[in-house]
Amino acid sequence: MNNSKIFSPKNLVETIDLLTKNKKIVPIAGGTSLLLNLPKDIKLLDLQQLKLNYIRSFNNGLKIGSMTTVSDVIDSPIVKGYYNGIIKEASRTIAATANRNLITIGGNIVGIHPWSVFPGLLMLLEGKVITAKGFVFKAEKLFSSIPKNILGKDIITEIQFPADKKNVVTYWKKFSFTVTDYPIVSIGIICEKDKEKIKKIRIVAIGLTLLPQRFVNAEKILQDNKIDEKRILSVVDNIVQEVKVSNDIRVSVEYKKEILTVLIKEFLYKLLEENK
Amino acid sequence: MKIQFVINNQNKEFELKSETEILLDLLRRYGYVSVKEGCREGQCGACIVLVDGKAINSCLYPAFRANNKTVLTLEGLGQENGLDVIQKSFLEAGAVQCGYCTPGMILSTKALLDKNPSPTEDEIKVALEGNLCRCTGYIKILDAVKLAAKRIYKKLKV
Repeated sequence: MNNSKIFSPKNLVETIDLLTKNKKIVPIAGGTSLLLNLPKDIKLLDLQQLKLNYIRSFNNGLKIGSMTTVSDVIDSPIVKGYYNGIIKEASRTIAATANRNLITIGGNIVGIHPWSVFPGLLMLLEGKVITAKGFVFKAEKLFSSIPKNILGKDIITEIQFPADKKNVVTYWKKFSFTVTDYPIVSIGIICEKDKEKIKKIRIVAIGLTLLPQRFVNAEKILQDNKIDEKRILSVVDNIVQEVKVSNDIRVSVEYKKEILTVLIKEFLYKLLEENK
Repeated sequence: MKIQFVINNQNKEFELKSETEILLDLLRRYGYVSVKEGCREGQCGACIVLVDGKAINSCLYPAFRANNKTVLTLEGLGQENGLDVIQKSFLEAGAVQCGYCTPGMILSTKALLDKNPSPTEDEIKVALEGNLCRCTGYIKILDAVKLAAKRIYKKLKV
């Protein structure tokens, strides 16, 4: 047994003060990944009293407190219709109900794993991450490196998603061996169309490396263009060339790349069909 | 460190072995042995209990967090003079074989039916997706949940 102590700050000033003054202190949100790997002689900073469990609409977008659980996100009527329900759909791919009742949004981001959904969602929907010290990070900036290193002695208090858009096509697909297993790969795509042309598209994948990946060059192939079979194959080629894949004990790098292309093709061929 | 919470409708005090003790270990130390030890990493659902009405894997739940909350284990579900409707339904549908996963299954069912007394088959599958069973093949478990739902819904309508 270790000699850990628990601190339960009531406000953000106290939280930052405790984080700054104590060397061996770890913030605990949902605790699901922390307790499995807790070093000895560590102090716990329990974030439960901070009233960061909320989901609010603002300017047609969303604000979600970092201590909100994944289940609360799934059950939220506000989240339900946002961007065709992609946040709800993606949240449903995180673990199982009994874990989703514990896992928090902040924990999913800071305790980042290759299968963390919220970093991918924030990157896909051009979201922002707000911290206790008042910093506002664009998702792409925060997830360009390990969030914990960027945050230092700071905590995430809120995530924000921009104003909802109704005329978009959204896609979130997790490929895994069982429903609750970690994904081999998950793909998120959001596409704005102007008749048969693709006006704007974003493609993000998780499960391949620790951080989510966005395929900017593949997006450029499709942007402002009409979709056709040649472009689809060119997108897939481009992604296979550019994607980074870490070793995964379950499957080979080639297998992951193959699944990634299958999922992307599934979405793009569906778009092509709709144009016919 | 001492904490207190309502467990199975009784307010009790508990002494933690350490601040990082998990709820699973605390409950088993105090004799709540229906809470089964399985994978200890939130993958199997054998240790599921209800905290403030929500199903959680007690192997991932820091025990100190239960302070001032309400915890339900299987010991608190059936009465001395009879089983709860969910327990009866599991027995009658033949949804119990070795029984190791059953407490977690029943408590996940309870959390579902308290919130939604008339679930669809998909909703049942979502509620129970984190409960692994290596004996029954799940069909009879699904039947049991449907049977319990039917009985509870009928009672609510009356």
